[in-house]
Amino acid sequence: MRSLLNKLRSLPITIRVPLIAAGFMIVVSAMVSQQVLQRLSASQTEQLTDLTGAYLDGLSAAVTPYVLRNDIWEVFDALDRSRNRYKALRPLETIVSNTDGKIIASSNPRTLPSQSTLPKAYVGRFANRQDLIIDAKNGRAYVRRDLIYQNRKVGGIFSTLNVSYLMAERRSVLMELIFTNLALTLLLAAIGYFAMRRMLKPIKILADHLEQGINSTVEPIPAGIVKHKNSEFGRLFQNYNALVKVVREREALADRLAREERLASLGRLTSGMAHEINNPLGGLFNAVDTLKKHGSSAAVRRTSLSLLERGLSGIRDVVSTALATYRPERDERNLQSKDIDDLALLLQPELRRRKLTLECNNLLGDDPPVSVAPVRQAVLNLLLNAAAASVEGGQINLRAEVVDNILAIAVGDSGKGLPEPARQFLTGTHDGAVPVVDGSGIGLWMVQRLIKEVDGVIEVGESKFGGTLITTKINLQHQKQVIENAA
Amino acid sequence: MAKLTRRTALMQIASTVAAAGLLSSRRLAAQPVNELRFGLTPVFLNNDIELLEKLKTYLAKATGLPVTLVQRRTYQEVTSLLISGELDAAWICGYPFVKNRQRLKLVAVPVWHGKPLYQAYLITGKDRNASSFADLKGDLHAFSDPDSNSGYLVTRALLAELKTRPESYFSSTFFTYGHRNVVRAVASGLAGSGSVDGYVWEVMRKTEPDLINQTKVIQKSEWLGFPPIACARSMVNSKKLNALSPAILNMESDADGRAVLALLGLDGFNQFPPSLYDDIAAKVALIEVG
Repeated sequence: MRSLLNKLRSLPITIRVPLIAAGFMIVVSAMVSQQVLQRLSASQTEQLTDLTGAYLDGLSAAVTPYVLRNDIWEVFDALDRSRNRYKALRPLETIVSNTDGKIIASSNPRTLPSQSTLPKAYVGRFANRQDLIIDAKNGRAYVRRDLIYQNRKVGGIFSTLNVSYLMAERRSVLMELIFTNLALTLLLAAIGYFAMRRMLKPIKILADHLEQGINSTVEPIPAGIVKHKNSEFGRLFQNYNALVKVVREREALADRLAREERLASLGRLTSGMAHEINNPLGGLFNAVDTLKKHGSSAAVRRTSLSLLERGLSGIRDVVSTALATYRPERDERNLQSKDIDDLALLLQPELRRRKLTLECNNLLGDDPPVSVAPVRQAVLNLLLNAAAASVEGGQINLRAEVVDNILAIAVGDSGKGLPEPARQFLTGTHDGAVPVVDGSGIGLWMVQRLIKEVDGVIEVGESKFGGTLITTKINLQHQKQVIENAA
Repeated sequence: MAKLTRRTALMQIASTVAAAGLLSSRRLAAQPVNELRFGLTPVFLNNDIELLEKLKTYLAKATGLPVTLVQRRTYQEVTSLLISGELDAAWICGYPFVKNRQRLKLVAVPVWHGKPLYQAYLITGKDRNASSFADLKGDLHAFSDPDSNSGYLVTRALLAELKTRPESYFSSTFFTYGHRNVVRAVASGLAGSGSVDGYVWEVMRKTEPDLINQTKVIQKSEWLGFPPIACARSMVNSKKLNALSPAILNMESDADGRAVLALLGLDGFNQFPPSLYDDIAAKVALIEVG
């Protein structure tokens, strides 16, 4: 029963509702049929009671004088004549007995001869003193009547009637009811099915659009479908389309924000890089000045050139890393172990600026099959966030590894810990608004968005430095399938 | 059944006649003087409406008198009406004629198969394993009428010869007041056996073969005088009787009369001496002695 209900629940609503309607129709028709049959049975019993009453009244009047005289012939004659007179009643056998329980005459004298004792079956049948018994199974009715003369019982009439025609009528009505109800139920169920299908068509359109919205992009319902603007579904479609408009605006805004955030992080990096370049620049110019003034001295020349070389090497490293990281064609490939090292290097200016130390544990061997751009951007954001959260002179750690086909990249800081709304937002336990506080939340929102892009999850824990440990986990098996399908 | 002695029989008849006489004096005053009242015993085929209509039509035409056919349930009633003069004539049975021969006079006797004679039959169910009167001992027996010759007297006399009586020989008996009813009672199995008019049984064999085929004849009596048409001796030479006698005796010479005779299965009517009923009288004497 439960599995049947579950199966019913799993059916489309366009089939389920007509099915339920048909079920109701069957129940209602069964109840109506039962009522009709009961009424028919009562009416037949009433009719039979009336008919037998008339039959027994007539017979009583005819035979009572002869019963008093024990006149076998006249009683028989009355029975014989009544047989033809009451054909509608179809009496099969009628017995007239006296008070001693002896048969005066019966309509079948060969089986129930005159002067024999009334069979016990006849008397026993009416043990409860009822006057009419219907044996529906055998299509027989049994009736009896006391013959009263001057307030005294002088005999009795017992009659067996063939009522199989009534039973046949009942059966015929039952069959007619079943077939009519079946035909009507099927017809109404079919009408119900198509009507419900038609009525639920707008729901299906809406459901399809919502499903499409979840799986890819939200699309408005075409104006051609939203015909009746004043109908319930018309208003629903309009509201949906208004919602689609808002969602699309938000998506556009989010894209713009993401781009801006990317530029912002780039700005911060650029600023660090400028420092990184600017810092040795003074030394380099000094070296150039020294060369200009004392270039003739081989020792000075050697020292200055060495200084120049080291300073320029530092600048070259910084520039080449930035170039390597932000070269557009690099975004099309998968993540490589080197990308993690690059990120560590890219963060150096910011680390130095804030006097932070980074503990980098890059345990990635083979290149994990996951798109580089979102992961790199997310980890960079996490690192920048960790740097911002940590106090000056604090520590940050970065650990990247693949365990059981899961790519786990953890970033720990030595900050004061992540506010609860931000933690809930990152771990997806709260679907509320982005916890933006003085702009810092946008980084986290970016991380959440990027990790979601690669079907990853974010876990928030405590770092070994007492701060926050944010771990992103990406199922590589799943990513492999996605990449293969995309290919 | 009450023992019927000559004395009780006479007393019964006398009282009936007296009662009927009182009634008749008033009734006669009401009925037209020239109306012919003809009685028919129910023993006869009185269920045949067609026969009655044809008989009435013929008699009215042949006598030139309005005719009323009078039927009663029992022989006794018809006989009483006849004796009391309330009927001009009646078709009665040989037994009441013999019993009342002092008061009655024969008008005509039917001729059947060339003779004014018929037989009494003892019948039983077709499928019953019985071939003689002895096999009928202990039966529930159906008689026609206590005043019927073939439907009672013959069997009663037969038993008297055996020094017994119906109530001893049979388990029980009942009267059906009609020969056809005796056949019905036996055919249906209500009665084990019955005493019936042989002429009626033979006519019914043609008219109601389905009913007759459910019975068989166990024993036939000797030939006895056919139930006659009689009148009260007081009516002899009355105008109405003078008109009735030739109408009955010449029935076969008229088309309507022949139609009646055809329905009855009779050759015609003729005059015979009362001695035709001596055999019946002997049976009456036998049972009165018994």
